[in-house]
Amino acid sequence: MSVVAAPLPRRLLAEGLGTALLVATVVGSGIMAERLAGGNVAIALLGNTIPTGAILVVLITILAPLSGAHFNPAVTLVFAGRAEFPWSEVAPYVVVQCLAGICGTAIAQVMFDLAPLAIGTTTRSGPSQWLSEAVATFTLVFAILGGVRHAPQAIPWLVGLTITAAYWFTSSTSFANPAVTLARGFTTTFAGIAINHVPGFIAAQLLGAAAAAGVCAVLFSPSAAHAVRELR
Amino acid sequence: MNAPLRVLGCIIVGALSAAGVIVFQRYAGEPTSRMVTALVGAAAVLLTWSVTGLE
Repeated sequence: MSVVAAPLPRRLLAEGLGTALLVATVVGSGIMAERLAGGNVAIALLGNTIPTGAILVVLITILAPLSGAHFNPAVTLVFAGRAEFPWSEVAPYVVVQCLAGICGTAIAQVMFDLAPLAIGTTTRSGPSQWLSEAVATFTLVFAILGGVRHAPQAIPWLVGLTITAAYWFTSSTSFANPAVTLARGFTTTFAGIAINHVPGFIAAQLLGAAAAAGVCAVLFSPSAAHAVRELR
Repeated sequence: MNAPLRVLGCIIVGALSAAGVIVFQRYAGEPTSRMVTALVGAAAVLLTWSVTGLE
């Protein structure tokens, strides 16, 4: 997830393409699920969950060797904080992720014969939603850093499965991604969020990511692994 | 549609687009042009204002 071998423009293309396809999947599957579910919100959420988890596995598997497949400013910041990603490239990554996410929303909207962008109006605010986002992002970063430490080849599956699970154990349906949250502020469909509620979500996500980075620094440090081997 | 939220959305897209131009100019080795940055940002604001009015 922290590979930086390819030239920056190529990595930015990979990050942009990946984030756009991720958001197009989240928003598009939300529209499709809502239309087909006949008013059953649980079925609609399930129809939104499965494609999101699936596309994450695909995108991370094929794009991680190029850009690290962050698709998420919180993940980019965590890797920069761990000195596994250059701070000088954080701004380009975040800008591209955010712009590409909005393009992804526009693509999904047009695919379903809607206006390319709409100002989100779905109320998603309050302490329970913010806590949900902090927990969801904590879990995501925990899964990624645990995967980096113990099972790098499994990271695409770990991320896909974590998001699939978090859709259902959080009250916010686990956005866990500032770029995706911003992009979802430009749709009034099933996956949308009121654009004035985006900052609260992003703040909670960044707090959750920072907490996970701190915990994982202790939990997955080389000295901790050494102590476990000593016990065995 | 809520006009202040629409304005907020347009400003977000405009600011991100301007930031994208700055990033592009910096990493493409091109001289930074405030005029181009402002034009792209303004165009993004107008485009967003237009498309969000289509619903």
